[in-house]
Amino acid sequence: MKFSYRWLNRYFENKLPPAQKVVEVLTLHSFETNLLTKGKNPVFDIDLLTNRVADASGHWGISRELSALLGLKLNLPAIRIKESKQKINDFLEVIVKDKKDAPRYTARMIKNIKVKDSPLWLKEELRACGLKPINNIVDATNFVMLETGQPLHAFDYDLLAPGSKNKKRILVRRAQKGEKIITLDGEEKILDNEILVIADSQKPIALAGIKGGKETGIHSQTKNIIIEAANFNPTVIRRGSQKLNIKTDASWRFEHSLSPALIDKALDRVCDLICQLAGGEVLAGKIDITDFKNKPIQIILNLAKLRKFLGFEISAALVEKSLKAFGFQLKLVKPDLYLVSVPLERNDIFEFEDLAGEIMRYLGYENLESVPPQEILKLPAENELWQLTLNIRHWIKALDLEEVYNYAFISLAEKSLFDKNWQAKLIEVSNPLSNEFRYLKPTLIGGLLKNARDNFRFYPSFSLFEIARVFYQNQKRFFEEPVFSGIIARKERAPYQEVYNQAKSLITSLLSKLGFDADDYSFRPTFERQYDEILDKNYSVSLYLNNKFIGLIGRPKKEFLNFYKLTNNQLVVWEIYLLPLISEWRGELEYEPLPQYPAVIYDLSLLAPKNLLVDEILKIIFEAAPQYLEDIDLFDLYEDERLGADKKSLSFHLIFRDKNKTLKSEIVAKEMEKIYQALKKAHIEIR
Amino acid sequence: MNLEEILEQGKKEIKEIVEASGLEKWRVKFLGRKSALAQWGKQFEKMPLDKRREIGPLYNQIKSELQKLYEEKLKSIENFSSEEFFDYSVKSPPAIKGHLHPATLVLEEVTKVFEKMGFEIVFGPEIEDDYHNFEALNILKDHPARDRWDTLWLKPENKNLLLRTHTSPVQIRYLETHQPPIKMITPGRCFRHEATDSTHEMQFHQIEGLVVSENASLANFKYLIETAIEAIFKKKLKIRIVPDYFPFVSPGLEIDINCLKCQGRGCRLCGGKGWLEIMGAGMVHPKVFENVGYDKNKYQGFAFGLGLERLAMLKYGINDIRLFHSSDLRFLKQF
Repeated sequence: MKFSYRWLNRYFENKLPPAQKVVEVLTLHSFETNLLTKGKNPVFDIDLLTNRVADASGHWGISRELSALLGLKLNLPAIRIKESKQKINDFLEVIVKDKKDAPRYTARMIKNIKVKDSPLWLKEELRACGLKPINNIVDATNFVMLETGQPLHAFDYDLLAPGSKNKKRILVRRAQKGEKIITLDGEEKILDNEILVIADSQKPIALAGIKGGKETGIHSQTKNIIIEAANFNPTVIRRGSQKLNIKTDASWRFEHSLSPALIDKALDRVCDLICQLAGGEVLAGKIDITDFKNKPIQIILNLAKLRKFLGFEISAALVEKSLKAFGFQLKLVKPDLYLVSVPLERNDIFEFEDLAGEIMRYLGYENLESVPPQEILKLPAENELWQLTLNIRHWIKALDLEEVYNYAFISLAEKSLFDKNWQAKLIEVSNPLSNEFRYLKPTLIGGLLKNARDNFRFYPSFSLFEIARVFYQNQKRFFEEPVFSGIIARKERAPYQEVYNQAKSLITSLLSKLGFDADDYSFRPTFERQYDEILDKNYSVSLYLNNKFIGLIGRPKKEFLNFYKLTNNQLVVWEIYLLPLISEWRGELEYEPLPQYPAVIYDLSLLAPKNLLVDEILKIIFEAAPQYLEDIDLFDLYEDERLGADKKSLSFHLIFRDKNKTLKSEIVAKEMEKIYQALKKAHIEIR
Repeated sequence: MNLEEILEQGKKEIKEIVEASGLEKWRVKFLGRKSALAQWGKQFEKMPLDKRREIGPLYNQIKSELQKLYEEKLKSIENFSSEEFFDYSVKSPPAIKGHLHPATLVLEEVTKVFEKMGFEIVFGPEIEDDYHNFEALNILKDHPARDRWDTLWLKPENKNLLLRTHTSPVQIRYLETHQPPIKMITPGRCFRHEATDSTHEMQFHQIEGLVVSENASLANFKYLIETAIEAIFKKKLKIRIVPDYFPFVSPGLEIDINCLKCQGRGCRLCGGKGWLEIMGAGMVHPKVFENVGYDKNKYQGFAFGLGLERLAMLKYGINDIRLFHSSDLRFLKQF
């Protein structure tokens, strides 16, 4: 908000310090302030805190702050009104339909004014604050608004529709649906019940708290005027202004909840100023419809509590000095206990803590001591999910993956990729920014596919991962779950087996780094959570940890690859649910004593049917020789036309060991014989 | 010297040799034409046949052992030869090619600092109800922030569920279930109904901290935040605290640091102000204590929050917040 340095200076007997100093003082103690224009009349841009618009949005408010902070005596203009013998009550009646909409409505009437140009000083001050001068009446209302913070409006009395008994009538009411008004700037607005209006006996003449109507506005021939100073409900004004899409200086102020106390001085001040600028006589009395009582808020201030709250010793004298500077009144009830009265225009001070804040503002936070806390030593509870994600991130990064952060939303178009079951589980945003962000993500896979497509422009091959939450609903309950998902992406079509192996080896390496043994997990071609609707069943596999489903590795279904234009590339994705992983996570590696006796290693080459799983071959071998066979290591796997179209060649190291003594080669030979027999029985050829 | 003595001597002397020239001298001495062994060979030819048969195998064995010693030494000297050309400047591909997201890097750094100071790390739901996101935080029904258009609401509307607009509801959830003394931080993803541009995002991250005890004071807050900022930026920075307003704290505070780029002289990064806003904070509002059933006359404390993306932008000089969700490897590979 703009404030003029020259204008502020009007209110001080001794002049303000240089503008740069004002900027500094206000910024440190009140509001962030910047110097907009330097030179002869510096203009400040003051970023008022939203709870201080009530008292500080006028030049008076800011000068009160400066007076307190700089210790300069304030000299606000005296207000002198000479009322005529005629009474406003004989000319005007005001009816407020609902005091919740307008907690206070006041008006004065001035007769026989002369509309003309404003004097130069007034024009200059308005221009400095970004307002366009119009005529002396409108300029006076604007000037007093910028002075006091209270919006004001002037109506041409003679243009109001006739009321009854020679009196004109103003109504503060909600608009009826379909009522119209032409605003001061000539725009027609169609109204409804959400809009609060000021109406005469026939029609709306102003959008209450937002903008005046053209018909009853001040014009060059206007003689008699009504000045309105009112307090309107912030929510009603905010909703109305949004609905009509009109934002004005007045509506902005009302939205921030003004104090009804501002009106008293503002109304008389504007009448005084108008008489000075335009002549005229102020009628006796004023309309004032309100339940508002000029009673200050009172707060108990306990000095012991204050010292504990601030954390340092502060003297009673300093407390008194700082609060009094901001206009608070203090009454000592008993030693170290005050009853503090809050200035009427302040709309932000209700609690003890608010007073403590005022004291600190006066002292300045640069004078706040910095004191190490005294506290009980307590070991904070471990956050397992945090620990797990830290672990995953750092291992997986070392394995050449790039971390991405994606939006938590899928688009309307992406929704159609999912089958009925998944669609039913989607959570919809009721006011999305656009259809791109319509539903919450039920899986991270789509986002990663999109990332793959985007990055193929610059990189032929990469791997990405993301740790984030996925969302779904089930029987009307909403769920969110953290997952760890990733993608290995090759622009050129590599064999699927190759990218799958890479992904599987990433996941199993990670599991082993997390402390899981190969015995703890297994991969099975079964599907849970309806992932077979997203992944291609023939190329995907589920991961079970201690027989609990924790996620999958696989190839997305064709529909997905088509949608993201990835049909010519080779991809494998995974999605691992972190909560079930945590519940199985011991977080500790286990040590196994080093073997005391040497191993005997035999090599074995086989020719097996192509569609026989490696797992099954291993099972045959292990079951044939369970006693001494410690481990089997597949070191070569290949397919070749020369082997036969439906065959594959596999080579293993077989590791035998006796835990209690050195194993004799005759015993191993016997074990091997058992294995040969079992393989032959399963129609596997030994090469 | 007999044959065994020759071998012993050869073994002894070859141990000391480190250079090719030394080894050549050794070869001449032990295997050359004028060596003791060669002398032996000459004598050997003159011996009677039965003697030759007796000593022959020993002679051959010693000769081949010396030969072997020589070859092994030669190999080890060649391995360390300084004649092999070595280019220290050759470009080495990175062994670890992966990267963590810049927001993660900052998140982990900030979290680590508070963890060291004994803060518990807490997570909360991203789908919130309006009570925890607003009401309990003293953001009342008519507050502009609760407007439909600042918050992303979820269907059906009568459930009053939304995507949390800040991490502050986690304060409430934590206070509801724990007793003082409390020292926690809660990092997380937040959402706003906001059009995206280079400085605004509809999806962003905050880290929020909360300390509550019988005497956690404003002066303690100042100490804590000075310490934390020094640790996060790894240098002593000028800090200033100025008034701010948030409904769930009083007094409300803004924490600024001296501009990282211009050190306060004023530049484009700080908009000419010389200061960068990095944190919002304040003393917990008594209404919040009332809402979670704490005795507001017994307990006091402070809360603070900062935007992760903003911090990362300052630390790394990133000029467009949209990059964080771009998933563009050209961006991500820089961290």
